[in-house]
Amino acid sequence: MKLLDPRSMMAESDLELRGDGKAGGGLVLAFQSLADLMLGDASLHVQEWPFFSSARRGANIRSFLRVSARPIQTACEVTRPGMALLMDEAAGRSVDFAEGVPPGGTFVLNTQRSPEECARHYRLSGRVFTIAGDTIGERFLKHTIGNVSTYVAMAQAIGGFTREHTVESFVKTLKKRRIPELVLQRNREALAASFDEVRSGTFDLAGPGDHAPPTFDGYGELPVGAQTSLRLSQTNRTADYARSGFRLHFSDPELKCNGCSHCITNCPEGIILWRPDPERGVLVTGADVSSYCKLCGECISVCPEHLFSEAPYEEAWEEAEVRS
Amino acid sequence: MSGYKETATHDSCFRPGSTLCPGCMESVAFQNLGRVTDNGVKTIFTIGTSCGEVSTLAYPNVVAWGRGDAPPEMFGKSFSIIHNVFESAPTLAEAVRDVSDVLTGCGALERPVQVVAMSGDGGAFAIGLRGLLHTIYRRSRITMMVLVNEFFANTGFQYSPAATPFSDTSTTPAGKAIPGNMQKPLDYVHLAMAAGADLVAQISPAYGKLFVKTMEKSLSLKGTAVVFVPAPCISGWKYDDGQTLELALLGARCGIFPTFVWERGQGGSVKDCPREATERPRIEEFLGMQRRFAHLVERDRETGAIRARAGQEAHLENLRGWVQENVERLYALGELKK
Repeated sequence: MKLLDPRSMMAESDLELRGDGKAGGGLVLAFQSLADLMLGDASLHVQEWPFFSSARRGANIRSFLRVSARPIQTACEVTRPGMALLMDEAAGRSVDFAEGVPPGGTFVLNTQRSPEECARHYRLSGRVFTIAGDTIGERFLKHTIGNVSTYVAMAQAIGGFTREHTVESFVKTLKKRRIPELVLQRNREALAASFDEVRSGTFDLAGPGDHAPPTFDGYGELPVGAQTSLRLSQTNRTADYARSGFRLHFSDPELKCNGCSHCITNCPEGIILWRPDPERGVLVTGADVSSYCKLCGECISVCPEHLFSEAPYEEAWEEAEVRS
Repeated sequence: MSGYKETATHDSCFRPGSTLCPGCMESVAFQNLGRVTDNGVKTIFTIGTSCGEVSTLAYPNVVAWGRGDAPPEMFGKSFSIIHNVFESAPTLAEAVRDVSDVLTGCGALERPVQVVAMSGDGGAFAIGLRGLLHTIYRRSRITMMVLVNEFFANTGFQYSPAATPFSDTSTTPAGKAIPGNMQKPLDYVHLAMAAGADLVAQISPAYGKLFVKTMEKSLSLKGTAVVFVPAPCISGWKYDDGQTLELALLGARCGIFPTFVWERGQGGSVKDCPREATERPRIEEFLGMQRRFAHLVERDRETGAIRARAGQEAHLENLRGWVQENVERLYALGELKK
């Protein structure tokens, strides 16, 4: 396996990046700020755009970035990125974030786990960078968002930027968004903390045929309007929209449910389970969280007996998809 | 078992799988409506373009509507949805009602149908106000549900004529020069009454029992019923998860969109929102939960109370004045019998 150096890819042809995340998870800002950082170098040409499906908050989104020393003529989505970012482990459940990355490519993951664990789990070959962005976001920005940290990790993976330049470029991007000074200061702290938290390693764990780039065989059976696989969700497993790492939990050992039925009528997905009860009218027995619960928390706030709660779970990692 | 609890056990025609935001009030309203319309009468929904349309009916995604398989004799469980552009939901419903009346008259349709139109506030008040008013004026026997989230949420949170004063929207961004939306909202409740509706209500599913009762009454009415549903929008109003119903309740109590039910011939009343400002929750509590008002109010670090930002007191006072006006007007409208 020959390692692909992002800097020389930029100089020779173009460096392509692709990020997978969830809407509202900070992917767009991470890519925009990286594009701004690149634009600091006047000799580089940069192309950046996010891709949303018609789905809303929490749905899978993608972001693309091209950098080249020559003018960029290409105007299609990136299918063979030299560097891939996974912003959210749960986003990796519906798509293979490393699809099309050639062996020796660069992988950046926003995760608590070590580069080795990630490389083994997703079967990656190349340089793997990980950063616990959500934890840093929680600590400095009071919000589980990994955009600051993944930006730093990507900048380090590309290499050649000074710390100061990386920080100032990000703050400049934020200023364009009318962010108040107090928040800018918090972002500076988060940036500073991120530099020392990036972990990396080189691995060669991909099997033959893993993460094969998609082949184009014409549009075939695709319905009109379905330009990309993101829009082709025939199942709409909307449970993926939920905050990563958490799941709805129902516990009523003492049968405290008073049958008020508010959770049943007000659950946006209508997935509350109940059975008729002679005393109460209805007795709520739980919720079918397997496929559709977006963890909006309405049942939690509406239940007078506080029977619903959020509980952490690990399944996002277990179910992540590796296409081979 | 009766009333609200009984309705809760009905089959909802809104199924999981929509791509709406987590905690969207539209989906909550659809769930409620889906259960209310499971009353043995076939329902025909018409829906104008809105989040609720593109996220539940977008081809080629799954369609989030349906009640599963049922034998033909359970005709009453069936329903159909016609979707059309923004302003067309009321007009389309009017046409559906006319056609079904003709078909019932000539015996082609054996059992009557109920018609429900669903629009967003952008579609109903900005793009399609004329369509809305015309349908009411024609006294079509339909129920109109207008989901008022105070924006064009589907296209990126541009302000609509229902936007609360001083809210930050993408077309009225709050900055140093302008503190958000400077327009006073359209008085849509009065407008619907004046145009000739037989039942006008402003109520959200946060008032579960009353909402279900109002919808049931609307469906059985012999004239036009217009139900405005204040619909907090988690992405546009920018609040935390799980606060949708709480915000809908608080907004109604503090007088931003008071709960109001009016019937022609009987008058109406404002519920759960006293006329005296001192007896209502402070509007700061409502504003403080949403980041679209972050330029107006802030949380005191020490006491945790929400107060006006420095220099914004005048705007807040202005808003308080409008809220009082709003409540007084609804009380006055409640006095009207015809």
